[in-house]
Amino acid sequence: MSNELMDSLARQAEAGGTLYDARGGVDDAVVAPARRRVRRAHTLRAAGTLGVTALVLAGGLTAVLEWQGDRGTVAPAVTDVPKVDPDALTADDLRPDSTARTLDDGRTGQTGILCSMPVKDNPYAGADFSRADSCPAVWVADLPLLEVTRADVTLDGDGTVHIAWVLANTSDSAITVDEGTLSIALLSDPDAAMTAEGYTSGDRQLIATSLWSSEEDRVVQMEGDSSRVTLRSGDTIEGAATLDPQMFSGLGTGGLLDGMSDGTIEPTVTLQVRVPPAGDAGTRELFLEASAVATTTGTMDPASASFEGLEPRVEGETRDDAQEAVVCHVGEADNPRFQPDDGDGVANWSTPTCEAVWIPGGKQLELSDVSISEIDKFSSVIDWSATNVSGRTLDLDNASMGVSINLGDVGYIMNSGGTSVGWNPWNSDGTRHALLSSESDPIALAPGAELSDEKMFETDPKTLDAPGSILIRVVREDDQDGTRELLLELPWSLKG
Amino acid sequence: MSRWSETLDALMRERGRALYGYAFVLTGNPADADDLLQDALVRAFKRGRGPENVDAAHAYVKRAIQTTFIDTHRRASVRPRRDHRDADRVIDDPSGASATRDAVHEAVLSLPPRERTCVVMRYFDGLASPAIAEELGISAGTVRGYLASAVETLRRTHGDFGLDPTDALEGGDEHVVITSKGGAR
Repeated sequence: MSNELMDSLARQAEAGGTLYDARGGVDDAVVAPARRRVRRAHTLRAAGTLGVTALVLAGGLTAVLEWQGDRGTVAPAVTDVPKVDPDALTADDLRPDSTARTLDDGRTGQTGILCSMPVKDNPYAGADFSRADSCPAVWVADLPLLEVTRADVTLDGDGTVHIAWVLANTSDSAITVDEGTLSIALLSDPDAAMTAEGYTSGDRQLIATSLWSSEEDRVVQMEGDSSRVTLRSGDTIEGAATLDPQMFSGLGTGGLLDGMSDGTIEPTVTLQVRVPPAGDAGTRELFLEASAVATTTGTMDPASASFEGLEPRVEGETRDDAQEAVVCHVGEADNPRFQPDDGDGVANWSTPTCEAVWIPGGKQLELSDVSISEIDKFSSVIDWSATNVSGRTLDLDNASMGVSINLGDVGYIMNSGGTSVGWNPWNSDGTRHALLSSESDPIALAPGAELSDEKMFETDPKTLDAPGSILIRVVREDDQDGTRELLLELPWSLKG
Repeated sequence: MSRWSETLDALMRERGRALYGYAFVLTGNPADADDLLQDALVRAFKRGRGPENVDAAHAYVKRAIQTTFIDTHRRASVRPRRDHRDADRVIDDPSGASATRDAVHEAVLSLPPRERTCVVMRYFDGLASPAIAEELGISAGTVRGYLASAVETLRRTHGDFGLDPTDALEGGDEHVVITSKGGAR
């Protein structure tokens, strides 16, 4: 026995308990945010009853919040301004003079968005969830109050986009703004109504063709922790944002990266900042907008020939003349193969958003067997085997063979050790979540040869008749380039 | 108030201290313990209607703390590194029990996440390898591998003051027991 070790651990637990007591519990730091996240998960689970816009939003938010677990990807703004000046303009001062704005009314001045909602749904009035909404566009003043004085867009070779910006108060008046909820949008065609497919959003980030959801309404994000500051005349707020390559696989992003890389698209950067009321938040929220056209610096590296000739695929589509596959444009920073080894000998897995594609030319790898069995009430195991039916040798990664089990609209996802069980991994735009491993073990699978694997996961009776897929990484000639990964997808259905 | 929310309140009222202490043992600092417990609560309560009662919630959250700790540290950009120090860099003959316990726990915190979790489950929860394996969804052989590696590291870095490799691999209880004290078992 190791009394010292047991004593040490017990003492540490008691130290944690004492800390817990001294803080009076952890309601604010732990329980309240957990409750908000659970409530948001339940809300998103119910999103199927909402309209098209809401579904698009839910998909975007789900991707970021539930699959990747990221929270907050816009760098904290840096300001040279004092906190709050009680005499500065608030929404109460600006809202009464606002007038309706339309897409092509030809006016100039300070643009804004005015949202109305019940107090219980207002994220700034204590509602437990963030939201994006489509609200009436308004003119707030005849002259600009806030302007983007710097918008630099830098494109890395792997498709990562960096945006640096400066927002200035160019009016003569001090204005109170909610710096903590400022959001940024990267737009390819800002002066036309948004395409029908929608947009891709993350935490206070949005990529779309335009923010105009109709001739009269614009999309606005309401996220982040409120933080009021006063922008005096001439004061500025600086900030930066990084958009991961996989965000450009989503709705409303088609062609944007390539267009920025080859110079055919000069993206518009739009900042949306809430102007809070003098008192408590109520049923209306005013946002000011400022935009600038940005010139892109940098180009993307050319993609491998492995990614040429692929054709788009959507959920449930079947073809006998092509192989299901996915392309994950992750960038090396988010590719687990290129992250430092943590030394514990256990593979790290990520679940990036990837484009579903067909590889024309017939099937390459076919599942010959798949079964799921419960070991006990806690653990289940999936066994599968697949056969090379391509007629040629396939170069595959024996260490990157993930399992994705689709339980539909269940409202949760459990990712563990290369197995993903839960929420439908498919988005509505021909993208889906895949599985990538930090480990690599290239093998050459001869024609007719079989490949097999098994993985354990947490028991869930719904998995027994759920559809799913095996996702196997293809080893390429340029495998040292981690910008993109190509995975063969082997779908199955156990129902019936 | 919805049922899951009531269960969450009851859980934190009755077992919050123990669960937080458990997260604190694994992470070693308050900020990470906050994040770990928050993530575990979300995992436990966002599923369906959530756990049925406080005991079920306690078991599920504690298990979620273990698995979330491993998963979170897989993602972390700054990961704990294996401790390559030799024993002679640490106090050979600790003058006080308190200092020894601090040194031991510091060494535990330097272990990779899976080894650390297995050590905590073995020596804090008092579980045997098969029970740890069942909780974590991995094989008992793998657990024994982690424990053997962890004990070897602890002995190398802190000397031999009672760590018995055989007991590490073969001792402990075969079943998980949740008590109202929560954190210990």
